[in-house]
Amino acid sequence: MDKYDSYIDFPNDDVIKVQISSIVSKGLKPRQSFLSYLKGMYKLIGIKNLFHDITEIVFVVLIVLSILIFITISSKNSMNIDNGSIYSFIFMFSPILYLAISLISFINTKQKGTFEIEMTCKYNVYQLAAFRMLAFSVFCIIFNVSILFLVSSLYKQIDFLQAFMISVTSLFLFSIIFLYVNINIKSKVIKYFLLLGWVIMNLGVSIFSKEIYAMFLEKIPFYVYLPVTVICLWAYINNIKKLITFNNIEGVI
Amino acid sequence: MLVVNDVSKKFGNFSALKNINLEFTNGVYGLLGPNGAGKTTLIKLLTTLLFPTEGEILYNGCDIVKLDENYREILGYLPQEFGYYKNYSPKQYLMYISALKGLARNRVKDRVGELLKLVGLETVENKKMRKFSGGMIQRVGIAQAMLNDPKILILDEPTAGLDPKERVRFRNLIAELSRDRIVILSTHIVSDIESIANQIVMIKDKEVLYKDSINNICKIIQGHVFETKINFDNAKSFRKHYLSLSEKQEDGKLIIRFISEKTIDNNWKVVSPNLEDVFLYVYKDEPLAQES
Repeated sequence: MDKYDSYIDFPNDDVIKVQISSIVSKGLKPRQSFLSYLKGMYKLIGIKNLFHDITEIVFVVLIVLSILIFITISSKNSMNIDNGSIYSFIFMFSPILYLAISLISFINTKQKGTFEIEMTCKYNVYQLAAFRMLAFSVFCIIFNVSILFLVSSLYKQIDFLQAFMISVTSLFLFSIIFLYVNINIKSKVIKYFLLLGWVIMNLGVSIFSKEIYAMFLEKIPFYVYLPVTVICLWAYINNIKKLITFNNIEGVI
Repeated sequence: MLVVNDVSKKFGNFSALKNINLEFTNGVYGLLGPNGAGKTTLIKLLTTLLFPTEGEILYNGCDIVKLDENYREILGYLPQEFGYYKNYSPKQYLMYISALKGLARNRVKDRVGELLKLVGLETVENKKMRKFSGGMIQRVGIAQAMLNDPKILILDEPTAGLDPKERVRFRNLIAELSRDRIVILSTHIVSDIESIANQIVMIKDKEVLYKDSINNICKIIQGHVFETKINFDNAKSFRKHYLSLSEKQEDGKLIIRFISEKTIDNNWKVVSPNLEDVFLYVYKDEPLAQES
Protein backbone atom coordinates (compact mmCIF):
# COMPACT_ATOMS: atom_id res chain seq x y z
CA MET A 1 0.00 0.00 0.00
CA ASP A 2 1.22 3.48 -0.81
CA LYS A 3 2.35 5.21 2.41
CA TYR A 4 0.31 8.30 1.50
CA ASP A 5 -2.92 6.35 1.13
CA SER A 6 -4.97 6.67 4.26
CA TYR A 7 -6.99 3.75 5.46
CA ILE A 8 -10.68 4.43 6.03
CA ASP A 9 -12.49 1.96 8.16
CA PHE A 10 -15.64 0.90 6.29
CA PRO A 11 -18.62 0.73 8.65
CA ASN A 12 -20.43 -2.57 8.98
CA ASP A 13 -24.05 -3.11 7.95
CA ASP A 14 -25.45 -2.40 11.41
CA VAL A 15 -23.71 0.96 11.65
CA ILE A 16 -24.87 1.84 8.11
CA LYS A 17 -28.45 0.95 9.03
CA VAL A 18 -28.34 3.07 12.21
CA GLN A 19 -26.83 6.01 10.33
CA ILE A 20 -29.38 5.78 7.52
CA SER A 21 -32.31 5.63 9.92
CA SER A 22 -30.97 8.57 11.91
CA ILE A 23 -30.61 10.65 8.69
CA VAL A 24 -34.08 9.64 7.51
CA SER A 25 -35.68 10.42 10.88
CA LYS A 26 -34.06 13.85 10.93
CA GLY A 27 -34.91 14.60 7.31
CA LEU A 28 -38.41 13.22 7.10
CA LYS A 29 -41.16 14.39 9.34
CA PRO A 30 -43.32 11.52 10.60
CA ARG A 31 -46.47 11.23 8.55
CA GLN A 32 -49.51 12.22 10.48
CA SER A 33 -52.68 10.21 10.20
CA PHE A 34 -55.74 12.06 8.95
CA LEU A 35 -57.40 11.75 12.34
CA SER A 36 -54.43 13.08 14.28
CA TYR A 37 -54.12 15.93 11.76
CA LEU A 38 -57.75 16.86 12.38
CA LYS A 39 -57.24 16.58 16.14
CA GLY A 40 -54.21 18.86 15.99
CA MET A 41 -56.09 21.33 13.85
CA TYR A 42 -59.06 21.33 16.21
CA LYS A 43 -56.77 21.81 19.20
CA LEU A 44 -55.01 24.82 17.67
CA ILE A 45 -57.98 26.49 16.03
CA GLY A 46 -60.76 25.72 18.48
CA ILE A 47 -64.48 25.42 17.92
CA LYS A 48 -65.08 29.17 18.27
CA ASN A 49 -62.75 30.06 15.41
CA LEU A 50 -63.73 27.11 13.25
CA PHE A 51 -67.32 28.32 13.25
CA HIS A 52 -66.61 32.02 13.53
CA ASP A 53 -69.49 32.79 11.17
CA ILE A 54 -71.99 30.86 13.25
CA THR A 55 -74.61 33.65 13.00
CA GLU A 56 -74.69 33.35 9.20
CA ILE A 57 -74.78 29.54 9.43
CA VAL A 58 -77.73 29.60 11.86
CA PHE A 59 -79.49 32.06 9.56
CA VAL A 60 -79.05 29.79 6.52
CA VAL A 61 -80.15 26.73 8.50
CA LEU A 62 -83.32 28.54 9.58
CA ILE A 63 -84.10 29.59 6.00
CA VAL A 64 -83.61 26.06 4.63
CA LEU A 65 -85.59 24.61 7.55
CA SER A 66 -88.53 26.93 6.98
CA ILE A 67 -88.53 26.21 3.22
CA LEU A 68 -88.47 22.46 3.80
CA ILE A 69 -91.20 22.60 6.44
CA PHE A 70 -93.28 24.79 4.15
CA ILE A 71 -92.88 22.36 1.21
CA THR A 72 -93.61 19.34 3.45
CA ILE A 73 -96.77 20.83 4.92
CA SER A 74 -98.08 22.36 1.70
CA SER A 75 -97.56 19.15 -0.28
CA LYS A 76 -99.50 17.27 2.41
CA ASN A 77 -102.55 19.23 1.25
CA SER A 78 -101.93 18.19 -2.34
CA MET A 79 -103.99 15.14 -3.23
CA ASN A 80 -101.88 13.35 -5.80
CA ILE A 81 -98.68 12.88 -3.89
CA ASP A 82 -97.08 9.46 -4.08
CA ASN A 83 -94.17 7.69 -2.46
CA GLY A 84 -92.00 8.09 -5.55
CA SER A 85 -92.24 11.87 -5.48
CA ILE A 86 -91.40 11.99 -1.79
CA TYR A 87 -88.33 9.79 -2.23
CA SER A 88 -87.24 11.86 -5.23
CA PHE A 89 -87.70 14.97 -3.16
CA ILE A 90 -85.58 13.52 -0.35
CA PHE A 91 -82.83 12.43 -2.77
CA MET A 92 -82.78 15.79 -4.52
CA PHE A 93 -82.90 18.11 -1.54
CA SER A 94 -80.94 16.25 1.16
CA PRO A 95 -77.62 17.89 0.16
CA ILE A 96 -79.04 21.40 -0.27
CA LEU A 97 -78.43 22.49 3.32
CA TYR A 98 -74.94 21.05 3.12
CA LEU A 99 -74.27 23.00 -0.06
CA ALA A 100 -75.66 26.21 1.43
CA ILE A 101 -73.62 26.15 4.63
CA SER A 102 -70.46 24.94 2.91
CA LEU A 103 -70.64 27.74 0.38
CA ILE A 104 -71.36 30.44 2.92
CA SER A 105 -67.84 30.49 4.38
CA PHE A 106 -66.28 30.67 0.89
CA ILE A 107 -68.59 33.48 -0.11
CA ASN A 108 -67.95 35.25 3.19
CA THR A 109 -64.15 35.19 2.88
CA LYS A 110 -64.30 36.17 -0.80
CA GLN A 111 -66.73 39.04 -0.22
CA LYS A 112 -64.93 40.47 2.77
CA GLY A 113 -61.58 40.32 1.01
CA THR A 114 -60.01 38.20 3.73
CA PHE A 115 -59.37 35.35 1.29
CA GLU A 116 -55.77 36.30 0.54
CA ILE A 117 -54.76 36.59 4.18
CA GLU A 118 -56.53 33.38 5.14
CA MET A 119 -54.96 31.55 2.19
CA THR A 120 -51.47 32.42 3.44
CA CYS A 121 -52.08 31.16 6.99
CA LYS A 122 -50.85 27.77 8.18
CA TYR A 123 -54.41 26.46 8.00
CA ASN A 124 -55.71 27.97 4.80
CA VAL A 125 -59.26 28.44 3.54
CA TYR A 126 -59.40 24.98 1.94
CA GLN A 127 -58.15 23.14 5.00
CA LEU A 128 -60.59 25.01 7.18
CA ALA A 129 -63.38 24.37 4.70
CA ALA A 130 -62.60 20.64 4.66
CA PHE A 131 -62.78 20.45 8.42
CA ARG A 132 -66.02 22.38 8.48
CA MET A 133 -67.50 20.22 5.71
CA LEU A 134 -66.82 17.16 7.79
CA ALA A 135 -68.62 18.74 10.73
CA PHE A 136 -71.42 19.98 8.46
CA SER A 137 -71.98 16.54 6.98
CA VAL A 138 -72.53 15.14 10.49
CA PHE A 139 -74.84 18.03 11.27
CA CYS A 140 -76.72 17.56 7.98
CA ILE A 141 -77.30 13.89 8.71
CA ILE A 142 -78.85 14.84 12.07
CA PHE A 143 -80.85 17.61 10.41
CA ASN A 144 -82.08 15.33 7.62
CA VAL A 145 -83.04 12.62 10.09
CA SER A 146 -85.17 15.14 12.00
CA ILE A 147 -86.86 16.30 8.80
CA LEU A 148 -87.40 12.69 7.71
CA PHE A 149 -88.94 11.96 11.07
CA LEU A 150 -91.40 14.77 10.46
CA VAL A 151 -92.12 13.58 6.89
CA SER A 152 -92.59 9.94 7.88
CA SER A 153 -94.97 10.95 10.65
CA LEU A 154 -97.02 12.93 8.15
CA TYR A 155 -96.94 10.27 5.41
CA LYS A 156 -97.46 6.92 7.02
CA GLN A 157 -96.61 5.07 3.79
CA ILE A 158 -93.00 6.30 3.95
CA ASP A 159 -90.47 3.81 5.27
CA PHE A 160 -88.19 5.81 7.59
CA LEU A 161 -85.19 3.53 7.14
CA GLN A 162 -85.49 3.61 3.34
CA ALA A 163 -85.84 7.39 3.43
CA PHE A 164 -82.84 7.68 5.74
CA MET A 165 -80.64 5.59 3.43
CA ILE A 166 -81.74 7.62 0.41
CA SER A 167 -80.98 10.84 2.25
CA VAL A 168 -77.53 9.77 3.49
CA THR A 169 -76.51 8.31 0.12
CA SER A 170 -77.66 11.45 -1.63
CA LEU A 171 -75.77 13.66 0.82
CA PHE A 172 -72.49 11.81 0.38
CA LEU A 173 -72.88 11.37 -3.36
CA PHE A 174 -73.43 15.09 -3.73
CA SER A 175 -70.56 15.88 -1.34
CA ILE A 176 -68.20 13.79 -3.47
CA ILE A 177 -69.23 15.71 -6.60
CA PHE A 178 -68.97 19.00 -4.68
CA LEU A 179 -65.44 18.24 -3.45
CA TYR A 180 -64.31 16.87 -6.80
CA VAL A 181 -65.52 20.01 -8.54
CA ASN A 182 -63.83 22.25 -5.95
CA ILE A 183 -60.49 20.48 -6.11
CA ASN A 184 -60.20 19.63 -9.79
CA ILE A 185 -62.20 22.12 -11.81
CA LYS A 186 -60.94 25.65 -12.25
CA SER A 187 -63.60 27.16 -14.48
CA LYS A 188 -66.25 28.91 -12.39
CA VAL A 189 -68.93 28.38 -15.04
CA ILE A 190 -68.38 24.61 -15.09
CA LYS A 191 -68.35 24.59 -11.26
CA TYR A 192 -71.73 26.29 -11.00
CA PHE A 193 -73.11 24.23 -13.86
CA LEU A 194 -72.09 20.95 -12.22
CA LEU A 195 -73.48 21.96 -8.83
CA LEU A 196 -76.76 23.24 -10.25
CA GLY A 197 -76.70 20.18 -12.48
CA TRP A 198 -77.47 18.01 -9.45
CA VAL A 199 -80.93 19.53 -9.04
CA ILE A 200 -81.56 19.93 -12.78
CA MET A 201 -80.50 16.37 -13.60
CA ASN A 202 -82.52 14.82 -10.79
CA LEU A 203 -85.52 16.95 -11.59
CA GLY A 204 -85.22 16.08 -15.27
CA VAL A 205 -84.94 12.34 -14.65
CA SER A 206 -87.78 12.36 -12.11
CA ILE A 207 -90.08 14.13 -14.60
CA PHE A 208 -89.16 12.38 -17.85
CA SER A 209 -88.70 8.83 -16.63
CA LYS A 210 -90.60 8.91 -13.41
CA GLU A 211 -90.97 5.13 -13.19
CA ILE A 212 -87.29 4.32 -13.56
CA TYR A 213 -86.30 7.06 -11.15
CA ALA A 214 -88.88 6.00 -8.55
CA MET A 215 -87.93 2.36 -9.01
CA PHE A 216 -84.27 3.25 -8.59
CA LEU A 217 -84.98 4.98 -5.30
CA GLU A 218 -87.81 2.83 -3.96
CA LYS A 219 -87.10 -0.68 -5.09
CA ILE A 220 -83.40 -0.90 -4.30
CA PRO A 221 -83.26 -3.00 -1.16
CA PHE A 222 -81.59 -1.97 2.05
CA TYR A 223 -78.69 -4.42 1.64
CA VAL A 224 -77.78 -2.76 -1.66
CA TYR A 225 -78.12 0.74 -0.28
CA LEU A 226 -75.86 0.02 2.67
CA PRO A 227 -72.70 -0.85 0.70
CA VAL A 228 -73.40 2.01 -1.71
CA THR A 229 -73.63 4.39 1.24
CA VAL A 230 -70.45 2.97 2.79
CA ILE A 231 -68.57 3.36 -0.53
CA CYS A 232 -69.84 6.93 -0.85
CA LEU A 233 -68.74 7.67 2.72
CA TRP A 234 -65.28 6.22 2.01
CA ALA A 235 -64.94 8.25 -1.17
CA TYR A 236 -66.11 11.35 0.70
CA ILE A 237 -63.51 10.99 3.46
CA ASN A 238 -60.85 10.43 0.81
CA ASN A 239 -61.85 13.60 -0.97
CA ILE A 240 -61.85 15.56 2.28
CA LYS A 241 -58.30 14.27 2.88
CA LYS A 242 -57.35 15.46 -0.59
CA LEU A 243 -58.78 18.89 0.08
CA ILE A 244 -56.70 19.17 3.24
CA THR A 245 -53.47 18.04 1.63
CA PHE A 246 -54.06 18.79 -2.02
CA ASN A 247 -51.10 21.14 -2.15
CA ASN A 248 -48.80 18.72 -0.38
CA ILE A 249 -46.27 16.25 -1.62
CA GLU A 250 -45.00 13.40 0.47
CA GLY A 251 -41.80 13.79 2.44
CA VAL A 252 -39.22 16.53 2.21
CA ILE A 253 -36.72 14.98 -0.19
CA MET B 1 -32.57 32.23 1.92
CA LEU B 2 -35.37 32.78 -0.54
CA VAL B 3 -34.42 32.19 -4.17
CA VAL B 4 -36.51 32.95 -7.24
CA ASN B 5 -35.23 30.80 -10.10
CA ASP B 6 -36.16 31.71 -13.68
CA VAL B 7 -39.76 32.34 -12.74
CA SER B 8 -42.33 33.31 -15.35
CA LYS B 9 -46.04 33.74 -14.86
CA LYS B 10 -48.60 33.67 -17.62
CA PHE B 11 -52.35 34.13 -17.52
CA GLY B 12 -53.46 32.49 -20.73
CA ASN B 13 -51.55 34.30 -23.43
CA PHE B 14 -50.78 37.28 -21.23
CA SER B 15 -47.32 37.26 -19.72
CA ALA B 16 -47.35 38.89 -16.26
CA LEU B 17 -43.70 38.18 -15.35
CA LYS B 18 -40.76 36.97 -17.41
CA ASN B 19 -37.58 35.17 -16.30
CA ILE B 20 -37.34 36.53 -12.79
CA ASN B 21 -34.16 35.65 -10.91
CA LEU B 22 -33.76 37.00 -7.39
CA GLU B 23 -32.15 36.12 -4.07
CA PHE B 24 -33.31 37.37 -0.70
CA THR B 25 -31.41 37.09 2.58
CA ASN B 26 -32.23 38.87 5.87
CA GLY B 27 -32.86 42.57 5.31
CA VAL B 28 -35.34 44.96 3.73
CA TYR B 29 -36.01 44.75 -0.01
CA GLY B 30 -37.99 47.45 -1.73
CA LEU B 31 -39.95 46.29 -4.72
CA LEU B 32 -40.38 49.30 -6.99
CA GLY B 33 -42.35 49.72 -10.14
CA PRO B 34 -45.32 51.59 -11.51
CA ASN B 35 -48.80 50.10 -11.31
CA GLY B 36 -49.11 47.15 -13.65
CA ALA B 37 -45.38 46.39 -13.70
CA GLY B 38 -45.88 42.98 -12.09
CA LYS B 39 -45.08 43.74 -8.42
CA THR B 40 -48.29 42.26 -7.07
CA THR B 41 -47.93 39.17 -9.28
CA LEU B 42 -44.42 38.62 -7.91
CA ILE B 43 -45.71 39.05 -4.37
CA LYS B 44 -48.53 36.59 -4.98
CA LEU B 45 -45.97 34.09 -6.26
CA LEU B 46 -43.82 34.62 -3.16
CA THR B 47 -46.85 34.05 -0.93
CA THR B 48 -47.97 30.91 -2.87
CA LEU B 49 -51.24 32.58 -3.82
CA LEU B 50 -50.14 31.99 -7.41
CA PHE B 51 -47.90 29.23 -8.72
CA PRO B 52 -45.19 29.95 -11.32
CA THR B 53 -45.90 28.89 -14.89
CA GLU B 54 -42.18 28.28 -15.30
CA GLY B 55 -39.32 28.16 -12.80
CA GLU B 56 -39.39 27.69 -9.06
CA ILE B 57 -39.14 29.60 -5.79
CA LEU B 58 -37.00 27.96 -3.12
CA TYR B 59 -36.80 28.63 0.60
CA ASN B 60 -33.64 27.11 2.07
CA GLY B 61 -33.45 24.86 -0.97
CA CYS B 62 -37.06 23.59 -0.88
CA ASP B 63 -39.81 24.53 -3.29
CA ILE B 64 -42.21 26.81 -1.41
CA VAL B 65 -45.27 25.25 -3.09
CA LYS B 66 -44.19 21.83 -1.91
CA LEU B 67 -43.33 23.11 1.56
CA ASP B 68 -47.02 24.04 1.75
CA GLU B 69 -48.09 24.79 5.36
CA ASN B 70 -44.49 24.60 6.58
CA TYR B 71 -43.80 27.62 4.39
CA ARG B 72 -46.98 29.45 5.38
CA GLU B 73 -45.99 28.94 9.02
CA ILE B 74 -43.00 31.26 8.58
CA LEU B 75 -44.78 33.74 6.31
CA GLY B 76 -46.38 37.06 7.21
CA TYR B 77 -48.34 38.83 4.50
CA LEU B 78 -50.21 42.09 4.17
CA PRO B 79 -52.07 42.26 0.84
CA GLN B 80 -52.69 45.44 -1.08
CA GLU B 81 -56.40 45.28 -0.35
CA PHE B 82 -56.64 44.23 3.22
CA GLY B 83 -59.97 42.61 4.01
CA TYR B 84 -61.34 42.26 7.51
CA TYR B 85 -64.55 41.37 9.28
CA LYS B 86 -66.24 44.67 10.06
CA ASN B 87 -68.01 43.40 13.15
CA TYR B 88 -64.80 42.21 14.73
CA SER B 89 -62.68 44.25 17.10
CA PRO B 90 -58.94 44.25 16.29
CA LYS B 91 -58.41 41.94 19.25
CA GLN B 92 -61.03 39.45 18.00
CA TYR B 93 -59.66 39.62 14.48
CA LEU B 94 -56.06 39.05 15.57
CA MET B 95 -57.16 36.15 17.81
CA TYR B 96 -58.92 34.59 14.81
CA ILE B 97 -55.92 34.97 12.50
CA SER B 98 -53.63 33.62 15.25
CA ALA B 99 -55.76 30.48 15.33
CA LEU B 100 -55.45 30.08 11.55
CA LYS B 101 -51.71 30.62 11.84
CA GLY B 102 -51.64 27.74 14.32
CA LEU B 103 -50.23 29.74 17.23
CA ALA B 104 -50.30 27.92 20.57
CA ARG B 105 -53.45 29.06 22.36
CA ASN B 106 -51.70 29.93 25.62
CA ARG B 107 -49.41 32.37 23.79
CA VAL B 108 -52.02 34.08 21.65
CA LYS B 109 -53.43 36.56 24.17
CA ASP B 110 -50.02 37.95 25.11
CA ARG B 111 -48.86 38.12 21.50
CA VAL B 112 -52.02 39.94 20.39
CA GLY B 113 -51.70 42.43 23.27
CA GLU B 114 -48.02 42.98 22.44
CA LEU B 115 -48.74 43.70 18.77
CA LEU B 116 -51.70 45.95 19.44
CA LYS B 117 -49.42 48.00 21.64
CA LEU B 118 -46.71 48.01 19.00
CA VAL B 119 -49.05 49.43 16.35
CA GLY B 120 -50.65 51.83 18.82
CA LEU B 121 -54.12 50.33 18.90
CA GLU B 122 -54.20 49.09 22.51
CA THR B 123 -56.74 51.75 23.54
CA VAL B 124 -59.23 50.66 20.87
CA GLU B 125 -58.61 46.92 21.03
CA ASN B 126 -62.27 46.14 21.77
CA LYS B 127 -63.86 48.67 19.39
CA LYS B 128 -65.49 47.35 16.22
CA MET B 129 -63.31 47.83 13.17
CA ARG B 130 -66.18 49.25 11.09
CA LYS B 131 -65.53 52.57 12.86
CA PHE B 132 -61.80 52.59 12.11
CA SER B 133 -60.00 54.99 9.76
CA GLY B 134 -57.95 53.68 6.82
CA GLY B 135 -54.73 54.16 8.76
CA MET B 136 -56.03 52.21 11.75
CA ILE B 137 -57.16 49.34 9.54
CA GLN B 138 -53.75 49.30 7.89
CA ARG B 139 -52.13 49.06 11.33
CA VAL B 140 -54.33 46.05 12.14
CA GLY B 141 -53.10 44.58 8.84
CA ILE B 142 -49.48 45.11 9.78
CA ALA B 143 -50.11 43.52 13.19
CA GLN B 144 -51.74 40.42 11.69
CA ALA B 145 -48.78 39.95 9.35
CA MET B 146 -46.42 39.84 12.33
CA LEU B 147 -48.49 37.54 14.56
CA ASN B 148 -46.40 34.44 13.91
CA ASP B 149 -43.09 36.33 14.14
CA PRO B 150 -42.50 35.43 10.46
CA LYS B 151 -39.13 34.71 8.91
CA ILE B 152 -40.44 36.19 5.66
CA LEU B 153 -42.54 39.33 5.90
CA ILE B 154 -44.18 40.48 2.66
CA LEU B 155 -46.02 43.77 2.63
CA ASP B 156 -47.86 45.06 -0.44
CA GLU B 157 -48.30 48.84 -0.29
CA PRO B 158 -48.11 48.84 3.53
CA THR B 159 -48.06 52.60 4.03
CA ALA B 160 -51.21 53.36 2.06
CA GLY B 161 -53.49 55.40 4.29
CA LEU B 162 -50.93 56.02 7.02
CA ASP B 163 -50.31 59.60 8.19
CA PRO B 164 -46.70 60.94 8.31
CA LYS B 165 -46.29 60.06 12.01
CA GLU B 166 -47.53 56.52 11.43
CA ARG B 167 -45.23 56.22 8.41
CA VAL B 168 -42.17 57.08 10.47
CA ARG B 169 -43.26 54.65 13.17
CA PHE B 170 -43.78 51.96 10.55
CA ARG B 171 -40.37 52.55 8.97
CA ASN B 172 -38.62 52.28 12.34
CA LEU B 173 -40.52 49.12 13.09
CA ILE B 174 -39.51 47.52 9.80
CA ALA B 175 -35.87 48.54 10.21
CA GLU B 176 -35.89 46.89 13.65
CA LEU B 177 -37.63 43.73 12.40
CA SER B 178 -35.38 43.24 9.39
CA ARG B 179 -32.35 42.28 11.47
CA ASP B 180 -33.34 38.63 11.55
CA ARG B 181 -35.79 38.17 8.72
CA ILE B 182 -36.50 38.87 5.08
CA VAL B 183 -38.77 41.87 4.62
CA ILE B 184 -40.12 42.53 1.13
CA LEU B 185 -41.93 45.79 0.68
CA SER B 186 -43.77 46.63 -2.47
CA THR B 187 -44.61 50.24 -3.09
CA HIS B 188 -44.59 53.03 -5.59
CA ILE B 189 -44.03 55.59 -2.85
CA VAL B 190 -40.27 55.88 -3.14
CA SER B 191 -39.73 57.81 0.10
CA ASP B 192 -41.17 54.90 2.10
CA ILE B 193 -38.30 52.62 1.25
CA GLU B 194 -35.49 55.05 0.54
CA SER B 195 -34.41 55.22 4.16
CA ILE B 196 -34.89 51.59 5.17
CA ALA B 197 -34.33 49.29 2.18
CA ASN B 198 -30.99 47.52 1.92
CA GLN B 199 -31.70 46.66 -1.68
CA ILE B 200 -34.09 47.83 -4.33
CA VAL B 201 -35.67 45.57 -6.92
CA MET B 202 -36.95 47.52 -9.90
CA ILE B 203 -39.36 45.83 -12.25
CA LYS B 204 -39.97 47.06 -15.74
CA ASP B 205 -41.81 45.41 -18.63
CA LYS B 206 -42.47 42.29 -16.50
CA GLU B 207 -38.73 41.77 -15.90
CA VAL B 208 -36.26 42.67 -13.17
CA LEU B 209 -34.42 45.75 -14.35
CA TYR B 210 -32.18 46.35 -11.32
CA LYS B 211 -31.52 44.65 -8.02
CA ASP B 212 -28.98 46.65 -6.14
CA SER B 213 -28.33 48.99 -3.22
CA ILE B 214 -29.82 52.49 -3.40
CA ASN B 215 -26.35 54.01 -3.83
CA ASN B 216 -25.52 51.85 -6.81
CA ILE B 217 -28.90 52.38 -8.41
CA CYS B 218 -28.53 56.14 -8.05
CA LYS B 219 -25.18 55.95 -9.87
CA ILE B 220 -27.12 55.17 -13.07
CA ILE B 221 -27.91 58.86 -13.45
CA GLN B 222 -24.99 60.30 -11.49
CA GLY B 223 -23.84 63.57 -13.09
CA HIS B 224 -26.98 63.90 -15.16
CA VAL B 225 -29.29 65.46 -12.59
CA PHE B 226 -29.31 69.25 -12.52
CA GLU B 227 -31.14 72.11 -10.95
CA THR B 228 -31.64 75.54 -12.45
CA LYS B 229 -33.81 78.63 -12.16
CA ILE B 230 -35.88 79.57 -15.19
CA ASN B 231 -38.66 81.98 -16.08
CA PHE B 232 -42.17 80.58 -16.00
CA ASP B 233 -42.58 81.51 -19.66
CA ASN B 234 -39.76 79.18 -20.65
CA ALA B 235 -41.01 76.23 -18.59
CA LYS B 236 -43.06 74.66 -21.36
CA SER B 237 -40.28 74.56 -23.93
CA PHE B 238 -37.76 73.49 -21.26
CA ARG B 239 -39.90 70.48 -20.35
CA LYS B 240 -40.01 69.52 -24.03
CA HIS B 241 -36.24 69.15 -24.11
CA TYR B 242 -35.49 67.76 -20.67
CA LEU B 243 -37.16 65.34 -18.30
CA SER B 244 -38.43 67.42 -15.39
CA LEU B 245 -38.12 65.61 -12.03
CA SER B 246 -39.49 68.25 -9.68
CA GLU B 247 -40.41 71.89 -9.77
CA LYS B 248 -40.96 74.60 -7.19
CA GLN B 249 -41.58 78.31 -7.27
CA GLU B 250 -39.14 80.76 -5.68
CA ASP B 251 -38.89 84.55 -6.03
CA GLY B 252 -41.16 84.57 -9.05
CA LYS B 253 -39.01 82.03 -10.85
CA LEU B 254 -39.22 78.30 -11.30
CA ILE B 255 -36.59 76.07 -9.74
CA ILE B 256 -36.56 72.96 -11.86
CA ARG B 257 -34.78 69.65 -11.19
CA PHE B 258 -34.23 67.73 -14.39
CA ILE B 259 -32.16 65.21 -16.28
CA SER B 260 -29.83 65.98 -19.13
CA GLU B 261 -27.20 63.89 -20.85
CA LYS B 262 -24.74 66.81 -20.99
CA THR B 263 -24.16 70.12 -19.20
CA ILE B 264 -25.30 72.68 -21.71
CA ASP B 265 -25.65 75.77 -19.55
CA ASN B 266 -23.20 77.01 -16.93
CA ASN B 267 -26.07 78.09 -14.70
CA TRP B 268 -27.07 74.48 -14.24
CA LYS B 269 -26.03 73.03 -10.92
CA VAL B 270 -25.22 69.31 -10.74
CA VAL B 271 -27.06 67.69 -7.84
CA SER B 272 -26.90 64.21 -6.30
CA PRO B 273 -29.56 61.94 -7.69
CA ASN B 274 -31.99 60.24 -5.34
CA LEU B 275 -34.12 57.14 -5.79
CA GLU B 276 -37.15 59.12 -6.87
CA ASP B 277 -35.10 60.68 -9.70
CA VAL B 278 -34.07 57.21 -10.87
CA PHE B 279 -37.67 56.02 -10.62
CA LEU B 280 -38.93 58.91 -12.76
CA TYR B 281 -36.10 58.41 -15.24
CA VAL B 282 -36.51 54.64 -15.54
CA TYR B 283 -40.28 54.73 -15.89
CA LYS B 284 -40.51 57.90 -17.98
CA ASP B 285 -42.21 56.11 -20.85
CA GLU B 286 -44.74 54.22 -18.71
CA PRO B 287 -48.36 55.27 -19.09
CA LEU B 288 -49.91 56.88 -16.01
CA ALA B 289 -52.30 55.16 -13.61
CA GLN B 290 -52.42 51.75 -15.20
CA GLU B 291 -53.79 49.69 -12.35
CA SER B 292 -52.42 46.21 -11.82
